Amino acid sequence: MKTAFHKIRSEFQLLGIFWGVAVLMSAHELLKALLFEETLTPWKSHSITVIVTVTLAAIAQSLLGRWTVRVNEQLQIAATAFETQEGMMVTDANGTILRVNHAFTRITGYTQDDVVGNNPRLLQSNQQDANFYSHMWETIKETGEWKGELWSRRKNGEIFPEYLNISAVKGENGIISNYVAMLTDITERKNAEMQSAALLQRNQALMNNAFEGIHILDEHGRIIEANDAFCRHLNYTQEEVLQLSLFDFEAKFSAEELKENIHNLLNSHATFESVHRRKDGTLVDVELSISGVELAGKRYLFALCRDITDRKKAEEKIRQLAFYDPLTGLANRRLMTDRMEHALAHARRTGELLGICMIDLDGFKQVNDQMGHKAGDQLLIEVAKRLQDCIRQSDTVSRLGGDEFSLILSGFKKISECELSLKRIITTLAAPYFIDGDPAHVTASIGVTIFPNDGGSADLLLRHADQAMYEAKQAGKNCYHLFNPSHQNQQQANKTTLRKIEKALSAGQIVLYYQPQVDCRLGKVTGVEALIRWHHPILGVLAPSEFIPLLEQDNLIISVGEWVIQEALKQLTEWRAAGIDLTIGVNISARHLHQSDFVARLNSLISDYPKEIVSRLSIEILETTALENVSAVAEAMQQCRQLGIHVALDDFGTGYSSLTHLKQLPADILKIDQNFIFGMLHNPDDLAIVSSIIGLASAFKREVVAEGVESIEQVLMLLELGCDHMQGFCLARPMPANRIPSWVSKFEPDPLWKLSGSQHPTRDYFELLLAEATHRHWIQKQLEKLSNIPEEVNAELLLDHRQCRFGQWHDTEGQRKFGSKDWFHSIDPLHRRIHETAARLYLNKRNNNKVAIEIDEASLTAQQGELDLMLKNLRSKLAENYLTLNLTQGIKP
Amino acid sequence: MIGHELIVWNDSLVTGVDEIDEQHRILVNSINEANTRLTENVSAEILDQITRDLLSYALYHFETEEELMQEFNYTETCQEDMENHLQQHRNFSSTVVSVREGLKTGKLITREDLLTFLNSWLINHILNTDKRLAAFILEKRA
Repeated sequence: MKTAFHKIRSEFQLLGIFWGVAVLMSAHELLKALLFEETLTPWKSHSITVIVTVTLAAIAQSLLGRWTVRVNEQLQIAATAFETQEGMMVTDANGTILRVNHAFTRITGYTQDDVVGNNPRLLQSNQQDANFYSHMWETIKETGEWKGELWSRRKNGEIFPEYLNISAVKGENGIISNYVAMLTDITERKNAEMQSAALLQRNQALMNNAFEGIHILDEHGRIIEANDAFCRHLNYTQEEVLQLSLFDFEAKFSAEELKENIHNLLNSHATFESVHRRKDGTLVDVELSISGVELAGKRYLFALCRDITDRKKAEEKIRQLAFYDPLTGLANRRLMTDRMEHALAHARRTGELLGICMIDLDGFKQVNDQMGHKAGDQLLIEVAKRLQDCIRQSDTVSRLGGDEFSLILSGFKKISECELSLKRIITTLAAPYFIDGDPAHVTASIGVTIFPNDGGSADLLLRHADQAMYEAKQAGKNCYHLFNPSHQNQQQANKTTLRKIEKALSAGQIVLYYQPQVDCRLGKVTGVEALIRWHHPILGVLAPSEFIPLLEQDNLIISVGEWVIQEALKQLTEWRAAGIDLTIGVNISARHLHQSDFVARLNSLISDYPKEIVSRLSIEILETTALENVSAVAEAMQQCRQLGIHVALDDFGTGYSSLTHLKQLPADILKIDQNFIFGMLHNPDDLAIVSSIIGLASAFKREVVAEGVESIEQVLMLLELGCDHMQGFCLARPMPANRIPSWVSKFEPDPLWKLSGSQHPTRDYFELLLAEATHRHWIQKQLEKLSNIPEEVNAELLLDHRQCRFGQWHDTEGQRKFGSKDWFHSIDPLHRRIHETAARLYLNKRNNNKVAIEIDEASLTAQQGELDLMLKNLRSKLAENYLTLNLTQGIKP
Repeated sequence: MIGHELIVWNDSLVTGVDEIDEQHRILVNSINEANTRLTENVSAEILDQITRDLLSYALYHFETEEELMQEFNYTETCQEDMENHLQQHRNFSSTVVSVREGLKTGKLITREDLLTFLNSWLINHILNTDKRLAAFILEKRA
């Protein structure tokens, strides 16, 4: 049997199916095994114990009728199970002890021999009253089981706590046959519990006397314990606090974060800062020190909390000292630099402009000196206040030290918006100050640079603002000055260019070209204008219009001007020696003219030259320059004339001189600006200007020269208008000095020029030219007019080709003079067609008929070309007739 | 600033030749300044200063580029590119001169026209013609 048992046991061990075995065994068999098999080897197995003591009795009853398995083996197993670490005791239905195990003996001190036949009452400690026992037995009767803690007495009289489990075992007839009791000594556990209870009590005392807020949280964050300090800290009563969880008063972390924190801290420790919400809703800064602790087998959070409001305030104060100016409370340089980086990043994203300003007080030193440093400090505080009142929330004003402030103005799209703020600040800061009743006066000089126009680093921007601030000081204080970033770059570049021009001058790269001026009526070259050219080694020949504008803002223009005068005088001397009688006009810039020693210098330049040379020199001054300062220029002109030098007003017509001005300015020559000459055959306004300048010159007895004459028509028109002296590509381009003698000697006047004059036939030519010019202009206007057609214009009016100036000429003078000629009659139908096209174009424009407009415009242009050609032929026929007539009759104009 | 945003210097504008890029930056600054100033007000005085700066740019910048062309014999290798490039330079200068000529008689170029001209110069010339020259130079320098 022993062998068999061992075999099965090992099999079962292998299979690990003790539960299955238990199910197959009946309670009676088990009990028999437990009571009679004494030779079994003790086999300690917790699982088996549980099976036997708790479950088995109930399961076995249901299996009573089904036991056909090998009884012996089963009994052995059950007996083995009986020998567990827990004390076991089996009684009969009357409570007489039948058997106990070794563990029972170890726990109680009673051996099997001591107790068998006795009642379990010998274990009673008298710690429980009769009610306890009667309740126990009732429970067993009702449920077949009782379990719970109770005090028992060991054999040595010691009272100990035990955990007892009693199960009733019923026989096949359903009557209780036995009771099985399992008992566990829980002395250690009880001691621990008592100790922790005592500890808790002691802790409670400590906690409540502690200055810091102590609270204990369970794994869900619920407060299970809190001291008085903590209750006071949150302003809750003890009862209220115990209803709270961490989630109710923690104000810094989110619920998710809190859950995670709790989970992590249950098994660790951390100290950190947080914010708690009091009962009244106010917030308080705290420092928390939290540790996970174990109490009675469960993990809790033991939290110490300290109010750190004072510390925070101290920190804030330190921060204030680190980032703010202690006197004014404004941001200091450090904070300003930081804010500026943010503002720059923001401006980069939004594309908005940023104004970086440096402010320096004007007159602050005087206040300090006269009223004392204390007054100075008070003034600075007031300035800071006014500055803060002037700016928006998003702007930053800071004090950089002394009487120096900075501003970062943001969020504007136009510089003018920024300038508006600056003007307001200037005005606000300039208002009187009263320090202890005494008035003080300071103003502000502000330098500003605008980002992103100025695209440097924060540091560079501040330096630029500083630079601009000094310029504001220089400009007279109590104002702002905008830094111009491209100015600086440009100035640098310009300086380089200027140095190059200077070098070029000494290296002979700057040369004078001369453009002849011709009296077309006399057919004679009268003079030249000296025009500067730069023979640039890389870029080729540069015209003055490409580099002189740069010189005009630098004193180099004076050297260049004097050089030109010297060259011209040398040239005049040379030509004079060669028998070439010409005048030379030289251009003098405004800057040069306005030099206080201009005349004196000029005098010394001409001092080596005889009068006949000097008298052939004329200086040309722009009309616009003269008008900038009429009296000064008039004075200079007068002095030049006294030196025997002629004076010309250049680009005349662009300055709109009034008659009064002209009367004041003693110019010998008026040079009509080339733009008017260029436009006069198309644009009646230009023609009117040219005509009136010529009239003006005649009335004031000044000479008049037309510049930029490019065509024979212009020559003839000018001659007809009374301007004889001309200059332009039509006559000659500017040329180097050495080519002038041969050009002059080869010069032949155009025979056509002789058309001009008061003689009858040339008048015809002129009239025709004028008619032609006006019609060309009229058509141009028709083509240009898009939507802006005056109401009074209508198609009928346009259609009437007799109403236009050309039509009138055609019907009157034209008819009278050329009516007999065949070619004249081809003009009228073409002219009529032009007007028809113009009227159609007008209607199509009214109706916005785009395709038709294009067609009409094209045909109008073509018809215009046809008419131009026709009239040009007509003029050349006239000229031919006239020249033939002149030649045959030998008439001289 | 309708129609024309300020130009923010970026990598697409870089040709890789430092001396050219540095001068292009100045041009971009000038264009931005023209943009901002003309948004406020278009006056002969402002246009005079802007065109003056542009003339200056033309002088020093074109000299730099054309000197590099000579130094690296651009004309022998890429004659057509070189001629085209020089022509663009001359056209730029003559356009600026004619704008100034207009100013003289009171015909002020509009902000729109000036910025269109300058922006198209930036795009067509810098992004195109100058980058071709730069690529050539970088290759030669390598």
